[in-house]
Formats: sequence, C-alpha cells, structure tokens
Amino acid sequence: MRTRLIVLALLFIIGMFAVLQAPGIAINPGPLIKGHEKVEGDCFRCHTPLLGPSETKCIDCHKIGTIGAKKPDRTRFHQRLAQKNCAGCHTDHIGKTAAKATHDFNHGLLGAGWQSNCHDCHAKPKDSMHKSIKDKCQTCHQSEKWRPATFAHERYFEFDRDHPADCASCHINERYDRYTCYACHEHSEANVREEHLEEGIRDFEDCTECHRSGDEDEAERIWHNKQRSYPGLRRGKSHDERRHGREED
Amino acid sequence: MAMDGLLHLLGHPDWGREMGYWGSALILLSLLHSARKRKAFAFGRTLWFLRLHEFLAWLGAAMVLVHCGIHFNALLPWLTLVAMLITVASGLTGKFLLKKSKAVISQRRKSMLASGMSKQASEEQLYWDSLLVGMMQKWRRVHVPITTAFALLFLLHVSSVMIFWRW
Repeated sequence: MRTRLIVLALLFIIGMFAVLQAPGIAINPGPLIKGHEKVEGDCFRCHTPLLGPSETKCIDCHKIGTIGAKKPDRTRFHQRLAQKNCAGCHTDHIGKTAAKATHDFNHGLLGAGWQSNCHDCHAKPKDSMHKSIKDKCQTCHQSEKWRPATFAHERYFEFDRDHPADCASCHINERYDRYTCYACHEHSEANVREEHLEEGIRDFEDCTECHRSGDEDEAERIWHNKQRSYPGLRRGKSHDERRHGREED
Repeated sequence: MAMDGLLHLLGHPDWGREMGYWGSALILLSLLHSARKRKAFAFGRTLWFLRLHEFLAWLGAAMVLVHCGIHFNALLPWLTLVAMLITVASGLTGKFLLKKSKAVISQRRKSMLASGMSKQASEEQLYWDSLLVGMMQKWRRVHVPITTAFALLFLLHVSSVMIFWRW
C-alpha cells in the first residue's frame, strides 16, 4: 500500500512538472483575446501562481494614465475608477474575435463625484422628452441598465381614472419640467381661482403642492398642515410673498 | 454537452463550472463504499454502500459531463474526462459481473434460507460471496488501477486549475 502511494505521489509530481512546463496544453481554457497574442502561452505573464491573474500584472502593461489615449473621441473613464478591478469588466481566453470588455460596466467602481456626473461620459439623449430635463438622470434611470427607466410619478401626482397617465394632457409640448392642470376642461383657471379664493387660499399656482392625487380631502389635509408649518399662509400670502419673506429672514 | 451549451446561451457558464465541483464531490463521496468494504468504519451495510456508490458515481459523472460541456481546449481535462468515462464503463461492467456472479451462487441462497438465515443476512453474505467468484476478482484487478489513473488525472487537473485560478 505504501509503495503504491509513493508511486502515485511520484507520478503526481512528474505530472505537475509537465503541467508547469506546458500549461497551454494542460490547462489553457481558450485562445487569448485580440491584442494579447504576443503573450499567448506565457501564462505567468498575467497569472501569479496560486493567486491567479492580478490587477498589478495588468497595470504593468496597461498603464492607467494611457488607457484610451489613442482614442480621443472616447471618454477616458479608467482614470476615474476608485477601485482597480480589471476582471470586473474584462476577461480573456475567449478568442480573438471577442469584445475587450465582456461584463457590464459597474458604475460603483467609479470614484466619488463621478457616479452622479452622467453627462461627463454619456451624451444627453436628443429626443424631445429628454430635452427639457436637467441633470437628474438617476430619477428615472439605474446605473446597472439604461432601460427600463422608471419614474415614480406618484411622488408628484398619483394617476387615477380621472387623471390617467396621458403625458400630453398636463405636459404641453413634451415639456416635463413643467405642467399645467388647466389643459383639462374640468379645471379652468377661472373656476380654480374662484374655488380657492372662496376658501381664502391665494397661493394656488403650484397645484401639486397640495393636490397629490384626485383626492380633495387629501389636498385639504396637506393645506392645513402647511398652514400649521407656515403661519404666513393663514394671512393668505401668495407663494412669491412667502418665498420673498423667507429670503429676507 | 448540449446542457452546457444551453447554460452558456442562458448566460450562466458559471453553473457549468460549479457542476464540476459538485460532481467531483459526489464521486468522492461514492468512495465511502471502498472505505466500508476495507472496514475503515463499521457503520451501515456494505450492500447499501455499494448502491450509494453506484448512484453517486453515476450522478457525479453526469454532472462532470455537463462541466466539460462545450470546452475543447486543453488536453489534461479531456484526458481526465476519458479516464472518468473508462472508470464509469468499468464500474458498469463490474455491476454486470456482480449480477452474473449472483446468478451463479443463487443456488446457495436457497440453501441459506432453508437453513433459517434471514433474508437481509443472506443478501449481505451473498454480496461477499459474489466478490469471490473468479470473474469478479479479475475485474477488481482492472477496476482499481483504472480508478487510480482517473484519480491521478483528476488531482492533476484540479491542482493545475488551483495554480492558475483567481481565488
């Protein structure tokens, strides 16, 4: 039994020696990507024994400061990465025709400040919907994927049967930075003014400040809460008057 | 192979890799039979461990086949796969010979039962008797070296992966 184990151990050592002499034959999982042909077969150029491929070895050849320098029309974002995690996006041994980056870019790798600065790398969409929207991409888009984009409209106004998600009814000319409630025959400027003045409410220009849905009672509750928070409202000051007063304070 | 191709298409090539880990673990677990047969421990019936060996080795080998899948690159993993398939074929041959041996000595069972031995005890005794039949002895002389060669190639494959892998 002991002799057998010794023979096995010897065979194993010889086998491992052969593996290290010809790793390409023994373990190579596939041809390298385009650009790495020069190091094909030279495994330890990228791999550290027992530790695998390391960022240090990548950076030995690909100096971070020079990445992207040959393509001035592209955004050079590698210099903005807070963490050096090459394998987070790149892989190898997948052939010469494969793309350089095979994983989706993890925006979490970007340094502080760069994560919310979308326009620095991404061009603003030129469609009419995005034209009126200013630098708050995160309101609708996630950093993992551009689509699907979701907008929590209920944070501003909740849709219901009488107020369906028909964008053009409130956002005239696809201007999403403003809205109007007067486009609907139910709410004319004259009857809204009359109804609010009857209640002593002079500040009614920004409807969704109190009307977060079609529920009138909810609007009334919000109004009363505002009255308690801003006593100036009791006197019926307008929105501009109150804002001006706060600025003077 | 088709299964691994499907996993790649579905974007889960890592599942195929993990199949290798789990398949290998099952094959290693199936070796409990050898340990029980060599009286490394006394727990459980030997025949039960034989059934476990057959089932786990078969399932583990199937998982390793998915793990090998659509990769046709290095030589060592393929040699290991060939060794595994030969070992499986050898195991199936052994299963067939065991069945044959049992038939040869089935006559003895009748006399055991007639002498008042319980069915379970007679099954256990028959298993040991079947190993003594000539064909089975010859088969074991082949199966053990084949399995050892597979184990050696398996160790070389795993060790070489460990050298180049990023943990």
